[in-house]
Amino acid sequence: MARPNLCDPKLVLDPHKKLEEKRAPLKSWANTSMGKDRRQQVEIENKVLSPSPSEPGVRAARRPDMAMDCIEENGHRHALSLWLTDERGTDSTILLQYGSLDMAPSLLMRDMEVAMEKLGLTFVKIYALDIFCDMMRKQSSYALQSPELPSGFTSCTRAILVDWLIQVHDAFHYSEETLYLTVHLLNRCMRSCRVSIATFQLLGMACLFIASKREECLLPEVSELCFLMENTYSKKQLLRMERHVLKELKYDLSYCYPLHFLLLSGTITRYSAQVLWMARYFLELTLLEPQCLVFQPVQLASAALCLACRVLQGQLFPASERAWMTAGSIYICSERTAQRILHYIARLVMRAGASETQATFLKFSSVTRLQVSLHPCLQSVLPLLGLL
Amino acid sequence: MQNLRHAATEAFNRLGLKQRHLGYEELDDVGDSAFPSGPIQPQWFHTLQVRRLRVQRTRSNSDPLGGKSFEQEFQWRTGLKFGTATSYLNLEKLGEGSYATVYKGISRINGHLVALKVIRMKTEEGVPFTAIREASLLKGLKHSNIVLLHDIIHTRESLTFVFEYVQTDLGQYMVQHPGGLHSYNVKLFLFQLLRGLSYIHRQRILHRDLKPQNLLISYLGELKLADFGLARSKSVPSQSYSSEVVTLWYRPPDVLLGATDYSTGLDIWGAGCIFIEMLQGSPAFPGVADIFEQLQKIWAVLGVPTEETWPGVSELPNYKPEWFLPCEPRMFRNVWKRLGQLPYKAEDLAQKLLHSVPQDRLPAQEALQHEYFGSLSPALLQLPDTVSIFKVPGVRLETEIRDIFSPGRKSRPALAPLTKCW
Repeated sequence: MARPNLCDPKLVLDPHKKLEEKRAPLKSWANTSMGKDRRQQVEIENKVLSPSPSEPGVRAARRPDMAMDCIEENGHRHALSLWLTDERGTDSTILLQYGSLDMAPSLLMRDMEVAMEKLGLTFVKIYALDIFCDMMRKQSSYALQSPELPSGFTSCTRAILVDWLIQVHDAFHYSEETLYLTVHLLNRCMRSCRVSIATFQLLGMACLFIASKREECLLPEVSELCFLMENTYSKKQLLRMERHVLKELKYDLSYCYPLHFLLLSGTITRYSAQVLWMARYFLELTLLEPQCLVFQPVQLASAALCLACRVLQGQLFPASERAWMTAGSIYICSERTAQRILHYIARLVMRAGASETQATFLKFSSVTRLQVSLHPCLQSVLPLLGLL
Repeated sequence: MQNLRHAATEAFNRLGLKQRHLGYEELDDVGDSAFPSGPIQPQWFHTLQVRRLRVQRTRSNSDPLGGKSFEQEFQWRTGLKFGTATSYLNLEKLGEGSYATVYKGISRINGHLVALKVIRMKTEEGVPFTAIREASLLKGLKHSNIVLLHDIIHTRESLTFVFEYVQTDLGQYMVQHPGGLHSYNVKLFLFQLLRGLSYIHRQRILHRDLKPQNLLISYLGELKLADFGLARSKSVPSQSYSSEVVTLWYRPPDVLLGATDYSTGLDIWGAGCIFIEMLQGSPAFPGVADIFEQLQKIWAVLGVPTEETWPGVSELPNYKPEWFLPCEPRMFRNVWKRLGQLPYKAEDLAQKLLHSVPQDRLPAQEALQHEYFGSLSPALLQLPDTVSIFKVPGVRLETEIRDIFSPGRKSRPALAPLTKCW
């Protein structure tokens, strides 16, 4: 299988970073959340190269894979070297070093497997690392090339629609995946189809309708959806729009949910529930900002978790600290990219209570979500990032 | 709810982007009026046969194709695009399912045979969710043991999936070769089935509806998983699936007992049942009436489970041990005679696949490395996903016994001229 994403180091690390931009080591991030996914990637690659002795079957399965399939092997190696590049760029030596380090990565590997299973991201443990590897490989393709909106649309227009979709989604008690998929479909439609303001709400609703068909057990009724749009559009129009959207997207409804990366990181690092809810709040806010479309899901998730951790001064449990020890020199994106995301999030947080688009703010002020959006520390998020 | 209705509209109004109440005709730009509706007209068949390529060009020795690319010149018919109904021609009906009809067809773009799965659209709900799931899952699956989705044609009345055409399916193959298949062919089919399952399980997808009719067999012997209408991928909140899936015969005991949190074990059990059926020539657990009869058939081989042999079984909704006749576990070779004629490895694999405790069933990835497949070329385990196992030198289907005695069909052992449906 071709893996174009992994062949170009810049693409994986940060598609928008300039070549000459120096990749600063993430020492300062080591105690935060930015490193975990890279570390997990290492675990996988390590497993491929030097499987832990406890799994002879898996070893037997993978080694020939690697030996035979040249592209496969190069892809893995390349990916591994990318995750492990340090500031000197001497990836090959580090690769070998890590390849022989069996102990620490295998502990992380186990953490990873347990987390995947706990979150229901895999059916059986032996597929956990394969699935994670696949998620990492695909996720970078879900970042859009540019944050542009079609002419006539402002980020405010889009935010109003997304905000309304969040409300509708919440009213139906759908899973979070449905919401993220809806907005993802909307973004792709706005990029590929001709959209007009007059049918913008209809488009959003069609995306929600499709996403719920993909993800949910209970489907909404068409008439109900039309009622929610004040019957501005007829049932026939909604179904026609559904068909139009599916055709434009060529039935490709796949997506890597940033939420999955967030929960995975959160589970492995054993952050408190408050930090996790805060991070989920931040992540949902990024749906409103078109500038955030250009970032990869894993980058958004890491940034959200990182900021939540900073705001709440989240402490790691001792057990997970050793996890961070090995993660020190690994990258998810350059520090500059991370800062950009953090700034966007911070601005979104400051605007969250504004009357036009406050659905997320209200949603996360509920007791079940630990009232994270009302947290007093959020007032000082801008000074925290040195923006004031 | 009422607030929700007004929320967006008011916000849009304030922005000065007031929505108009649209009439139907105004929305034509989002429709697909470009596509002709109604059945495909028969006279196309004639044009198909008499049509010849006529390309006007001057000859040149240095550039014999006149600057045109090979593909351009030898296109079946120019101007036809994927995604339109006119590009395909229905030949004959192959079968009819609950929500779709399958036709054999021919592509007017490249002349390939295709299978057209025409899904009826429900006017009330729009595109059926099964179709959306099947299409979006198949879009992401590229494997030689998964049926290939070429194209999707979407019109107002119907939705058509264009699949590669595969000659027959395992159900028909077994009907044509009664009394059990050649043991080497069984091995090849099972290997491919497990290879396909291992691939989809690694993609977080369960097939959920394994049965011989859903396993397509090409004339070479390539096995392909088809009909992903019940399949779905797994998302974070592990939603419980409805327990009304999987044909009864291939349904595992945990699902029969009412478990809803099923996992890859569901497909593995089906693979085990199909393994036995290929060897024996008859289904492993042919229950007739209902779930309890089906369970009784299973217990007759595996023994009635207890809390010791299967921790947690007593918590399943349908678990009522007093309803079942007491059964002791039996040796598989005593139940299914054909296993006794094969080396011990075959029985061992069957036992590991048909385990009553779902978590203990062998994952497909590990089953591929079972000793039973030890006699196959080790190169098979190292093939890239999209390469068929028949690309490995020396791997080919053996002639079935029945074909030896009917020489007329000997030349094409696996090719069934009959129709199939899935």
